[in-house]
Amino acid sequence: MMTTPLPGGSGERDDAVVISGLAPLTAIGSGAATYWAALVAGTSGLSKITRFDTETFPVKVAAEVHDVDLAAAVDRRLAVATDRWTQFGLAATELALADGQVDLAAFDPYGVAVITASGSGGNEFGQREIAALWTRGPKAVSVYQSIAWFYAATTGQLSIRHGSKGMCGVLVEGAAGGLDAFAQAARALRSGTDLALVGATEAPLSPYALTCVLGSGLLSTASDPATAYRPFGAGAAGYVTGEGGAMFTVERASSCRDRGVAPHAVVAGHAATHDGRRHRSADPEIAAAGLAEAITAALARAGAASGDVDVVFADGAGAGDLDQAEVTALRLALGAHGATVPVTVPKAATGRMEAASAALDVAAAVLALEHQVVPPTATTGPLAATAEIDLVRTARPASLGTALVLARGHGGFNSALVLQRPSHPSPTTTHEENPNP
Amino acid sequence: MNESTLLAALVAGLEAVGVDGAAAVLAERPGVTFADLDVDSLGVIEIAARIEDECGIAVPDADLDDLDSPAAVLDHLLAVAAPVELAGAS
Repeated sequence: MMTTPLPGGSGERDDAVVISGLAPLTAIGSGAATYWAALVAGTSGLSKITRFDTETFPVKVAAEVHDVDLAAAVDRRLAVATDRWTQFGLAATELALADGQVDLAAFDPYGVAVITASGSGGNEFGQREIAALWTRGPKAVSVYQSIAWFYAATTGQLSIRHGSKGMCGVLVEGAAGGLDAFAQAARALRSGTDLALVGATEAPLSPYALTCVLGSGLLSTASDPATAYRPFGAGAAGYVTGEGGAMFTVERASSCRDRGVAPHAVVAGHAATHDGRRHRSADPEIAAAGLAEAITAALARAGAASGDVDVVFADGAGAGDLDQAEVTALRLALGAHGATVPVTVPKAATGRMEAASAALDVAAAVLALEHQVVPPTATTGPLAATAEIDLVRTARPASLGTALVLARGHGGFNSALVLQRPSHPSPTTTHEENPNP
Repeated sequence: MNESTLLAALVAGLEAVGVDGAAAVLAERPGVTFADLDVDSLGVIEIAARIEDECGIAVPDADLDDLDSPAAVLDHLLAVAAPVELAGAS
C-alpha cells in the first residue's frame, strides 16, 4: 500500500477533502453541463483519427477534441512553447476555477498546490522537434523542446500562470496517476496546502505518442468507431485512446464552506497497489488480487462497507484478461454485491487515455452523484461470458451516495478512489450558471 | 547585408515565438523591450536561433544577456554585419 488514510467518510467534517470545482474537456463536450448532457445521451466521441495520416499506422480510431477554443486560454506566445496536452490542462483549469468560484488571488501562493498526472506528456511536440533535428539539423530544434515535452510541463505552466508557490508535482504511472493525484492532493492539504489544482489531460494523437503504447498490444486497431472499443464485450479488440481530460479544485471542507461554496463531492478514501507481472497473470484470481486489495483498502479508509458502493466507474481495458481480472476484483472485494452493483465505463465515449480518462472518470462520478444518474457505457454487442456484472448501457436514475472509481496502469498499477455525496450537496446547476457571484 | 534583411530576420524570430504582427509592432514601438512583449529569456534564445537561420549571423547566448530589446538585437546584428560586408567588399 502506498497511502495513509484520508480524512473523510463523514461528509462535512472540517478536514474532509472535497472537490469544489471541476471541468471535463472531452471529445463529446467541455465544461460539466455540456459533457454531462452528451454523456447521458449516449453520445460517442470516437471517430477516425484526423490529427495525422493513419495510412501507414495500425491505429485508426480515437476520441479527438474539436470544440475547444484553445487560443482563448493560451495566447500564441505560450502556444509555441507548449504541447497540446499542456494547453488542454491550462484551458480545463480555467473552467475548473470558474466552476469552483475560486479566486486564487485570495489565497496564499504558498498554500496553492498543483498536482497533475500524465501518461503521454508532450510527445507530439517532441516528435515535431525530433523530426526537425533529423531533417534540418540541431539548430532547427525549438528551444521550447527543453520545457514543452517532458511530463512536468503542465504542472509547471499551471503554477507559473497562477502564481502558485506550494507543493508541485506530476504523477507518471499510466492511468492510475489520474486517481493517485487526488491522494497526493489530500496529503498536500494535510500538510498546509489550502487549495490544490488537480487532474490530468492527455494529447497522445501523434504517431510517436501512440507508438509508445503500441507495444502493450492493448490499443484497438479496429477501424470502425462503433465497435473499436467495447469494454467487457465478447471478443473485445482492446481500447481506443483519445485526448482531453479533466481538471479540478480540491480543498478542505472548511475552506470551501468559508468561501461560501457548496462542495461537489467528498474524496473519502483511496488506495493504490502494484502487482507487477501478476497484473496480466492467466489466472484471473491472481491478476485481480492487487486491484481487489486497493478497493478493499480504499473503502476501509472511507469508512464504507462493500455494500455501500452504489456505482463503479471501471477501468474497462477492453481486453479479455484485464476485463476478467476487473470483474473478479469486484467479486473479491465486494462479494456478491460485485455482480449486482451498477458498473459503467464512460470512457467508452471519450477514450481510455492514460491518466486523463481516470481523472475524467472522477468528474463523471461526481456528476453522477450530483444528478443521481448512472451515466452509460457507450458500447454495443454482447458482453463477454465472464463479465458477470451489471454494465449500464443507457443512463439510469439511481440513489447514489458512494461511487468507486478504478484505474489500472501498464505494468501493474492499480488505484481505487471512493467519492461520496456531500451531506449538503450543491444544487446541480448553481456552479455552471453562476461562476462569478 | 543591409538593415532591411537583418530587420526581416528579427521579425521572423519574433513571429516564431508568437509575437503577432511583429513588423508593425517594431515600427510603432521602436523602443519596445522583450519584457514589454512578454518574451522571456528562452524566447530570446529562440529568436536568436531563427535569426541565425534567416541571415547566418549567430548571437552567442552570453551576448543575449545584455540585449533586452529587439532594437538592441538589431543594433548588435548591424555591428556584426558591417565588418562582414567590408570583408566581402574587399
